[in-house]
Formats: sequence, structure tokens, C-alpha cells
Amino acid sequence: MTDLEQRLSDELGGLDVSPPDVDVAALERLGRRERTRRRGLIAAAVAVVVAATGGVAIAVGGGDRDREIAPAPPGPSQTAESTTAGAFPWWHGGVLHAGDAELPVRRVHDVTYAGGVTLATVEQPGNRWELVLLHDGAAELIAEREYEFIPFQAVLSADGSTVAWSERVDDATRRITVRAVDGGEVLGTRTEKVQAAGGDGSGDVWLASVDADGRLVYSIWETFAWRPDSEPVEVTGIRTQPAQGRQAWPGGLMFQGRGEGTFDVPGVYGTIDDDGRFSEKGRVEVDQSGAWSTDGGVFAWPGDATGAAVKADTDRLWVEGPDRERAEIPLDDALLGIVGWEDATHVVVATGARRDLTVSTCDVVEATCATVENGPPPAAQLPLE
Amino acid sequence: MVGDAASYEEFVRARSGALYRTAYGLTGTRADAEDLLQVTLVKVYLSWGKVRRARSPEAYSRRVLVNAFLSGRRPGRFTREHLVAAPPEPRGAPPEADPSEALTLWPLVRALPPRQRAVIVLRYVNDLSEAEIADALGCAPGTVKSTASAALATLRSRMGEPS
Repeated sequence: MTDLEQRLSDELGGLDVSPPDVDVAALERLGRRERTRRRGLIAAAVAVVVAATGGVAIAVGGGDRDREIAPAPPGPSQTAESTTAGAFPWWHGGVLHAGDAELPVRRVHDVTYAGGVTLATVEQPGNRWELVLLHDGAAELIAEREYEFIPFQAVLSADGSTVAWSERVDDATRRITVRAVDGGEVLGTRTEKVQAAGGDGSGDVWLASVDADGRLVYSIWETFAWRPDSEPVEVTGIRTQPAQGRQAWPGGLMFQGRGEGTFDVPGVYGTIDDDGRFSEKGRVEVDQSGAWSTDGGVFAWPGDATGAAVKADTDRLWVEGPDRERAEIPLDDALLGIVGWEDATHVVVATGARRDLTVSTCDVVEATCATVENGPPPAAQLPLE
Repeated sequence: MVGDAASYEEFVRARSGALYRTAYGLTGTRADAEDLLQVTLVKVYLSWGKVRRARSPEAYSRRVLVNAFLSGRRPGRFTREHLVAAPPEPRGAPPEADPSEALTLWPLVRALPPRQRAVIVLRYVNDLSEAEIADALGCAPGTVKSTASAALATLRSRMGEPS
């Protein structure tokens, strides 16, 4: 080491600066805002391209969300009365829409919306089934098959960052894939032997949920948790089947339905340890309809006037969860259903009547809802819980 | 709130001090270091799923920080809110002593071109190896070596020493 290097080591190595106090909540708020802003900008950019070419925006094989984007000019602030159309999905006239993405389809089979991302299984002409992601103004084909019974079973993480699906390899084999939504990185694949009998799905692989880290909860008679970099572990300490899709708690799992025991109750959610042990964290009123927020802090569900868990005539919006005491979110009209969560505090709902619906975005912290301007036509269909 | 958010918070609490020290070394002022740290931590938040799966979340975050510094973009769009919890010092309060005042080489290091400065700061402030610096800069270890050599030559020249 030369004299200069020694001096640098002595002087710079002793640099003593006291760090500032960091407000993590403010950082997370800035992050959520930046994520929303990026999505809006990319969607707008794609819309310009589509308008110029007169074509339909379909990008196959990965997005380009890491590119640099110029800062957006300040826009009008959102009011409690109205907001602009978001990225939520709807279909009408043979076209599936999600924000500025448009995908012509023969038939929509299944649609999930979470964190600004749409996952859909659609049927196309020629007996072809497609599993597609729609986000950032584009549709991305991630798997396709000729028609068969349950061509895909797929789940999207509550924050929209990770997708997992299972496909039939042969009668006794299923292939499971977990991948990142952004960039398309495959986090892991595995095959499972099944004894599916009777054609009703019994004994087959059922995916319950995938979290932002790629941990998948699935069942083949028993329930397993699998991190793509390790072997699956059987989940122990649960009394009923795990809820699937948007009812699955992002931090672990949630019970669905009553088990065989007298005291088994639905709607219990909790964490899964690395060894597979389930630990209860709380309970929500409803287990088979509703949706968890992107961070698992709030569960939104349709309920009746008393807040009771009923599955009919549920025309009011309720929320509760680890971050929120049970409360009703006032709506201008009867709740048709929950479309999905935009982020940790905003849930998209449809109100009114079928073929005459209105879409609103509700802030569950402020307990206010804003009607989406220029939303889907009244006769559009949406994925409703 | 589930584990993902909790682990981000834990990471910020544990590593923001070290990242701030690097940011201060790169920018040379508290205000710019705070801005750079904020930009970095928001970027880390946006990619947290990827960051926490990385072999070293700290190294990943350091790479984000160095890239943000080298890209030369002012972090204006993130500065509408400040992440410091305490209010700013009232006008008239005595300024806090600059920790670099006692460092005679410091003004010369601050005057280095950004990439040379990054190599010097990562080497002598953070005590990183050539391989770790190469990872942070996204270049080959040989490039780190040549950049460090150029930086030392620049310093010697500005100190009036023969190369």
C-alpha cells in the first residue's frame, strides 16, 4: 500500500456520519405512488402507439418495465366524486380489456385482478386456450394448450408480482410453474404425480395461492407449501381446506368452509412456518367471497346490513383485517361485487345491477368511494367476488 | 401487514446507516446523501421481491445506490416528501459540524470524476474488495483496478506529487 492509499484508508475509513432517522411508512407510501405512476405512464405510452397503428396491443414474451420514464406532469387530484379508469379488467363484445390493454377473445374462462395486474384464462378460436397476463397496457401470453378438462389452474399473488400455474403433462403428471410477472423470470418448476379420478378434479393438483416471494400453497389431498428453491413441506395444523385465489391471505393461508370438527370455523387466517406449521393470526367474517388487499392488511367482502356472513343479498361493502377494524364502506348504490385491489388501501368495486353497472374505487382508510369516469360500458362483465 | 413488508422495514432499519455512509461519500453533502438514500430505498421497495431473494440484499441495494448516483439523475421526483422523521433545524441554529472537515484529502476525492470517486469511496469508505466494487459498479474487476489506478493518479497529480 502506498502512502496515498494509506492516507485514504485512514481518512476515509474514519468518516463518521450519523444517518438520518428514516420514516419507513413514508418510503412505502412513496414506493406505492411511484409504482402507480409508472404503470399509468407506460399504459399511456402504449395507448399512443396503439392509436397510431390502429392495432391491438399484444406483447408476447415479457414487458419492458425497467426502462426509464420521464417524470409525469402533475395531474388533477383525485376527488371523492370521480376518478379516471384504472387497470382493472372487464370484457364486452369479444374483447378483454385491462387498462389500455385489449385482447380479442372467444370466451373468458377465469379472470383475477390484483395489484394492477390481470391474470386470465381465455378460449380462442380453434379450441385453443390461453393463459395471459395483462398489465402495463399490454397482454402477455404465458401458456397455451388445446382444450382439455381444466387446461390451466393459475393463481396470482395479492400484490400482482408473481404468478403460478399448473398444466397437465399426462393423465398422471402435472407441471407447476412459478414466475415473476415483471420480466418473466421463472422462479421454479416442478412436476407432481397425481391420481385424478372421476373427472371432477379429485386427487388433482389445486393451487391455493402464491405469495410475492414465489412460495406456493397447493393441495393434492394434503396441503403443501413450496418455495421454488427447496422441497415442498406439508402444512400442518390446519383444520379445513385453504381458501383459493383472492380469498387466500397473502401472509400464509386462510381456511375455507367448515372442517369435519365441531369447532372448526372458516375465515381463520395465519402464517406458515418454514417447517409447514400453521399459526393462526386472526379471523374474518366471510371465507368464500371477498378479496385481500395487496399487502394482506385488509379483507374486503360483500355483506348484509348486519355485517353477517351470508352469501345472498349481500349488497354492502365491509372491510376488516390485521390493519383495519371491521367497518362498512358507504356506497351510493347496491354492491354488485368486488373487482380487486389496486394497492394496499384502494379496492375496486362494481355497484348497481348487472348490465347497468358502475365501477368505483374505494379508499378503505378514508372510507370514501369515487366513481370511475369513462369506465366500462354498463353491460360489461367484470370478475366479481 | 404481512412478512414481506415487515422484512423491508427490518432491512431499512438495519442497513440504511451503511447505505447513507456510502451515499455521503459519493455525494459529499448531507442533503444530497439523504436524497440519494431516499431514491435508493424507494427503488428497493419497488423491487423488494427481487431484492430479498438476492444473495446479498445489501450488495443489491448498494448497486442500486451507486447506479442512481452514476446515472446523474437528480432525485427530484422523490423529494416531494422527506423521509427524515425529525423536523429540520430552525433558522439560526448553529450548523452541525461537517464530519469531513478534518479530512485533508476529502476535497480532492470529491473533485474526482463520478466513477473514479465511486471506486475510491467503495474501497476506502466501505472497505470493499475489488470483486465487490465490480459488483456494485456492474463492471469487471479489471476495470475496477484500472479505474482505481486512474483515480490515484489524479489525486497525486492534484496534490502535486509525481505519479
